[in-house]
Amino acid sequence: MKILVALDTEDYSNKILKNVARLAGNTLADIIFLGIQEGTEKLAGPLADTMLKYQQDLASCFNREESPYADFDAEQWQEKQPGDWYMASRGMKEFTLRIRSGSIVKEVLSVARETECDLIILGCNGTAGCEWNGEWNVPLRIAEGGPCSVLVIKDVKRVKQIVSILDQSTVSQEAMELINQLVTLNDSGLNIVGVKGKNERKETEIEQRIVDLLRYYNDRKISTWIKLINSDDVQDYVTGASVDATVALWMGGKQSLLKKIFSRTMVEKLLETSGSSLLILR
Amino acid sequence: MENNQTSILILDDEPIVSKRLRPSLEKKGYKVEAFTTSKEALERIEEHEFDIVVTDLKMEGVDGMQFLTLVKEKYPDTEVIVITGFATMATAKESFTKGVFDFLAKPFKLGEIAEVIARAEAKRKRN
Repeated sequence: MKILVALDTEDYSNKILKNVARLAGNTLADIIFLGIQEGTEKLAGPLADTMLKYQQDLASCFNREESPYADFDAEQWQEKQPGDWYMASRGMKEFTLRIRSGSIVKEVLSVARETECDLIILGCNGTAGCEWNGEWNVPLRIAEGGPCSVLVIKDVKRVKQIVSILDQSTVSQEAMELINQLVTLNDSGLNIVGVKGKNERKETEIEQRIVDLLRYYNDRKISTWIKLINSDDVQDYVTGASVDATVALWMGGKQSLLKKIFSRTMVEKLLETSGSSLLILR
Repeated sequence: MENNQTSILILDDEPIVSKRLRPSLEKKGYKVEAFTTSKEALERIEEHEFDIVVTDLKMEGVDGMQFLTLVKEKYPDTEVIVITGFATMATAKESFTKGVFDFLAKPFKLGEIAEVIARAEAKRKRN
């Protein structure tokens, strides 16, 4: 598993590090910390210093002997190409610091594709659909253009419930595996919510699908509840659930009913009001 | 020619995992056998030593941790790679204590596991 963590010097970035460390410790993932700066001429000191501090903060979450990541003591920033700096260490797993110049969304997407990461994680200030350094709706725009799922962490608390909203379209194996890792990480229950559309045949399909999923999770001894709701009720349901649960929203397929229901504005609103975290699945 | 091929056993109760992995590894020249139950995989292990074993952890019956323990007891030089959708620090630690080569949490890209298998193969050939 490879995780790309988009970071800046704001408090919401600092706050997510403990969650990232817990996920990294559980999954022994390769980690990439990515910071974005303006201007390509030289590396910005404050951001470079902050990225190193974040690396040290993450390292401090592990016992030295047990850490999957090697120290960065002897490493220096290297310029890969103009406006692209990196520093990497290889222990049992790889830890890379990157700083790129340019637009946040564009650079995050570029690094996500280049590194073939499995998950993008970022924090969020909770206003204007998550504003990052003057750019609005950053998580949603990353999720829309990204090659993988995006986890937006709003609150560092351990959630008791993961609410996974599925529609009739086929959910990718990668998406299900990410939900599994989050359930394991939080030792939480899983609430699978199937959304019924107007089409009776597809209603049967979604019923069958969530029953199959219930059987899958029961076999693996994961506490799971299933529920079917009408598409008309889904917005209210998700808004209510997002107060204290991590909501996993499948927005991947072109035929996705949820993609039709959850307008861009609705997801932006969710990002503003959610009390926990939002996993936008691809 | 066939004897020089690195042999890999894949055990995962989700058929889609082997379905993805097997053709990709065979294309790289590995000899791959895939199983969805630990019972069948154990029967095969009884009669054949594999260079590399890739196993899931959470499975019905003999789980992946028991399976890899049995593999390492019988064939200490076989390199075992754990793949799991329910990763915890405790299972990672236990896996390494039992001598696994690497631990990969799902999801992962084919390139990632191919790179781990290549390193395991290189280690196996050195020893």
